[in-house]
Amino acid sequence: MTLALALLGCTFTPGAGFSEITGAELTALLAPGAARDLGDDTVLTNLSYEVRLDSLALELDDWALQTLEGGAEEFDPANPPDGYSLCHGGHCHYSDGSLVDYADIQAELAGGDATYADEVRFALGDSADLLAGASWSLAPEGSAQLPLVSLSRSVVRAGALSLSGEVSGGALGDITAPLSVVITEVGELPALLSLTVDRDLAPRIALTAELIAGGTLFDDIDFVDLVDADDGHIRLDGTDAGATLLEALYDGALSVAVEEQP
Amino acid sequence: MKTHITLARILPLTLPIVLLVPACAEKTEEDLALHACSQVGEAGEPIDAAADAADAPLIALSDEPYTINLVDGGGFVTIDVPEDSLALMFTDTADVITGLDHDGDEETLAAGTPNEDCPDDLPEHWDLDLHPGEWTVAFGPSAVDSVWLMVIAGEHGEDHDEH
Repeated sequence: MTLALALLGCTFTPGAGFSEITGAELTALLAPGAARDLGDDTVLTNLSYEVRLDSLALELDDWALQTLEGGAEEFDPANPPDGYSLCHGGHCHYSDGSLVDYADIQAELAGGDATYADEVRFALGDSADLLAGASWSLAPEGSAQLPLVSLSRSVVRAGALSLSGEVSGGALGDITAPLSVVITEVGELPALLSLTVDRDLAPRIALTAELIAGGTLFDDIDFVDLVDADDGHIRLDGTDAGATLLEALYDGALSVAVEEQP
Repeated sequence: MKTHITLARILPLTLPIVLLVPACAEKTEEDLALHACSQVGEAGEPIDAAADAADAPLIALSDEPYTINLVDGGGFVTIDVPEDSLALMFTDTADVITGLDHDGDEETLAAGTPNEDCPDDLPEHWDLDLHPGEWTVAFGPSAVDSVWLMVIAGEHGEDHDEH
């Protein structure tokens, strides 16, 4: 113990961490990709509907880097627990044929009561116009110095999602129906993170996050079943289709890049 | 140094491939993911997808790519699989491959994930545990006319535990 303390004494200066966050950028936008982008903010769905958007806004509360607390065992994709195999790309194959995210396996190994806790938090408190694209340069709350820590997840916490536009094509035939959606609480949009802050990490790092609403945002929503018989409008609020849209938004929307600086 | 870290980008795709290599060294001494990246610039054999699954043209498990010409942004091709095989399917355009069936039975197709060695060139790939028979890949609807496709065998499924 004495030796360890002595070594730490050689490493640290008062108030300094192992690494400093020198910058953090967050960008949020709609990016349908070539396969689903019909131009003019119109997205083609897997059911051949064409969703033209007049507005797409997401309230962003904050962005955090988190540690996993409450468990002792770390998940190693190269040596997955029994029942899991072929781990890569953020998921493993489970013996029943399903794909399971690393985060879920990690939490399972850590015990059912394992939780993620914020280590670094960037306040946002703003609304993102996803059609125009929005970006923020952020500074962490409190110190920018990172202690010796293993960061397991990044998460953007979002409030209301609201959009308006119109839907045509697919099973709607010649009908074009106005579309409006207001989901009051989107919740956490996560990305698994594997960032160990120690002496092997550069003394300064910059973070870049992208929050992308992709081309599959409206997949599996059969709009023809959602047309209001009275006014011909489509509203997803409180419907299973609204939940489907949220699932699509959760799925891989957030990505985080870490740039090590000398 | 810039390191991308996402749910889909934590571990290099090469890792499971490398793990499989010792058991099948005679088949896959080359890293399959890297090989796929090296072939992106090659158009490969052109194949016209069929509008109906029943008419889908056959393609082979191969380390050579295909260019699949789509019908109004969609269509079907069929992979003839003679024996149990673990395979990797790569494509150069995300959100175009939308379904997979085995001898007419629909299979669950999870979301594709990028090839870690060239995520911009090959934004989606799938691990496929293929059993003998005909596997039909569904494309579209999409706004593109063609896609680059490679379906490459990793090993014989029946000889291994990683199923």
